[in-house]
Amino acid sequence: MQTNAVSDLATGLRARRDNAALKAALNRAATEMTTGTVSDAVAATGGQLADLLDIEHRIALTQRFGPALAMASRRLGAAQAALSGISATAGQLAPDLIAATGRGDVTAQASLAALARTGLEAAVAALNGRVAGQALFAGAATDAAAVDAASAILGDIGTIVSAQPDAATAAAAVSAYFADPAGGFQSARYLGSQQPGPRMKVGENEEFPALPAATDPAILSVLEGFALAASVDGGAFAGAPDQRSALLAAAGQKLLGAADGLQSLRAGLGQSEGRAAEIETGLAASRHALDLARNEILAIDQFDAASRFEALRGQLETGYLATATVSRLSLAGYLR
Amino acid sequence: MSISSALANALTGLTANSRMAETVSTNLANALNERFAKRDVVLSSVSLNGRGGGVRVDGVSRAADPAATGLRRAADASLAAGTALADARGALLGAFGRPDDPGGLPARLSGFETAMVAASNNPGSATHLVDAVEAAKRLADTVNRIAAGIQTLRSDSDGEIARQVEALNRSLEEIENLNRDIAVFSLTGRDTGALEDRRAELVDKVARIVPVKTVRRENNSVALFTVNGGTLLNGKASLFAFSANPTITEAMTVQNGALGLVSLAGQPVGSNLPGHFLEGGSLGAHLQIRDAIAPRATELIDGFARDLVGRFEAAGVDPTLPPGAPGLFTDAGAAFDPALETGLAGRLSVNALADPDAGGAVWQLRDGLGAAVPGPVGNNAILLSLTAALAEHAVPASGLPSAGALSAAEFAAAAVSAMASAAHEAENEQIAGAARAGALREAELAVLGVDSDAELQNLIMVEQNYAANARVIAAADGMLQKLLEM
Repeated sequence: MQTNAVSDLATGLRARRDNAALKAALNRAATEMTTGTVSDAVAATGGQLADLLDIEHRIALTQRFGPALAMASRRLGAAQAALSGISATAGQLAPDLIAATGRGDVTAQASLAALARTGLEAAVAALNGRVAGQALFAGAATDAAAVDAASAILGDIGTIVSAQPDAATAAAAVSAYFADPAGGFQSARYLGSQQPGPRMKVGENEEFPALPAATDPAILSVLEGFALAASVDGGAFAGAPDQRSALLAAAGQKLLGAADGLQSLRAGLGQSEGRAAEIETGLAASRHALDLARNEILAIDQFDAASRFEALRGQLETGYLATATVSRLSLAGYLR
Repeated sequence: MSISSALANALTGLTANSRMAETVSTNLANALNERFAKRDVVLSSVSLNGRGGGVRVDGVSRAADPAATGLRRAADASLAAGTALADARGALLGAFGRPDDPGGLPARLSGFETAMVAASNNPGSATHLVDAVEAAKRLADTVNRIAAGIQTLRSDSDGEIARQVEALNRSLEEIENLNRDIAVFSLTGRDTGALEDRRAELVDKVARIVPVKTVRRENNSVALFTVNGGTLLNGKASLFAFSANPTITEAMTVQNGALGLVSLAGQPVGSNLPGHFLEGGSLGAHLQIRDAIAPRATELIDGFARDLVGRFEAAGVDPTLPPGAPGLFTDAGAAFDPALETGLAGRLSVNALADPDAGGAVWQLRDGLGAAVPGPVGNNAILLSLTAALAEHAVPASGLPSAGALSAAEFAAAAVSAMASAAHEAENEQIAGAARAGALREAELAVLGVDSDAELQNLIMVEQNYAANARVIAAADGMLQKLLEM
């Protein structure tokens, strides 16, 4: 007798399979509803994870660039402030020196020489500036001081000048002391490294150039100018007022000439500072964009998930009701 | 006399009814037994010299639907294979790293690259340098772990192949014995139902290992063939041989003979080429895993390791390195040798010169592995160069054929993505296969299973029929009594 009989086991199997599938879907919907993200990223992207992984990698990198940029900005700002201070002093001293030597004002010359000495001391202090424990102008030796004490430099200068017969040769000797890599200042009084300082990495393809070291020619020039004038305050050519006057005049010319070099250094730093501001907005924007992209892949609209959850719950309840009803329908229950 | 014939006929009816009641009770008792196919009593009328002689019980037949059973077995084989493949691919994806796994390859590479950026921006900070070296070690660890995981998967599959070949042999032998017993029972008219149940169960077991085609032979025997035409059981059971390898390494492949093949009478019958004798069930799947899928994953991770080592060995990245010297990542301390690429991932390690735990110093990371003494602490030129080496786009030398130029992070992402899409596809296949197998099983059970309602209806009819036959006996008896009272 061929009828479409359904065995007990078959109905049981069908009910079990359907209920199990519904329950699994219900659990997934519940997780998605509460967390707001897909429960299985692999399933959500169909296994194409390259985009998602790339986004997460860029997010991690961007998090490192933020602090690096902040640090670079602080260093730039501090270097800029140091150089502007030196530049201001030099810019004030230079015309005064030239005028005082031009009209032969001995008292003014003496006070200007003293000012030059304090100017050198201030310059050395500025060059030895540090940010977050790292030297600004010491090149790669960020753990060392950049320049030795001003008194030591003045001592060197005094020795050199007193050994020279006149102001012109003295000026030349002092020039050599600063400019020659093997001469005095760079070998003994510059305490930093000849290797350039750290270039800050602030973006996937962005690096800030290293800060200038104290051996930059513009900085050496201004130090030379201060040192020449300060040597007069230290007693060079004590009995020869015209030699002293000549020294001060040479110092004034040197300081005047150094102004251009300092200006271009500061312009470079200013450019970097402007770039830093741009990069900061860029970083914020890219972080935002990356987060959006990530959410697009992973996020689930919670209302959508909630309505799916409700629908599945209703379906599961109906399934349970059907299973219960069918299982109660048995002939055995109706026989006697 | 007709009356005594009537008696005799009614008696046969009673016997048949008892037999039917017994069958109903057997069916109901086994209603929840999944391996049971319902029994039916086969009746035929008896004819004695042209006159009705009552009913004869020919025997108890076992319900069968060869078409439904065959389809279901094929689906079971696919499902067994699909499950093995999905599990293996899932394990591979887990080893490489699911998206949220902090120990996965993309996360570890990202951690290393960000630590290098931080160290580049803080070259004087020993903490940052230590972080970078530790992050490099974690990356190397993950690569090692992935390589080891792949070989474990291969060993597991190898062991599973041995187990399944053993199970196959035992099942075929038992089926051969059952064939004999069933033939003997049928010829002597005894009930073969339970034996057939057991045989069906064993054929199901074989069908999951290797997909089978069942052919009925005389006297209720079966012969088994694989769908690709190989003989499993034709009168005599085939005996398969396989020798397992307890430990498997990357260097051992089927091609170089270091791994075992399944053989029949000395001839190898399984290989990882499609269409071979044993393809389509879980045995074929495990052979595929051991010989094709896992080695491909090994190629991938070895290619990644090679790419990583090469980035730091390239000329100019670390100017303090003499040519031919190993860079930050080494092949167990040595530079990369293309002849030894297989298994590189298992040997990848961080150069001891930069590892404080191995007698090195972290300042070597900043000042170059070939530097004799530490340099100025603010010099980040080499650190920047190392970081840039990671980000540089280069076409992978191996592991990812037909990929464009990739950075290290992109290579890791591509590797994981490849594993993920394969795992996803395998999982979908398995789900579909499970649904299909489930539906076919339901269809088969609908025919073969016991329907309690139908059995109870039968019982009602048997009861009434029994009462009727008993009535006939009583009536015949009454007639005979009347006769004797005369």
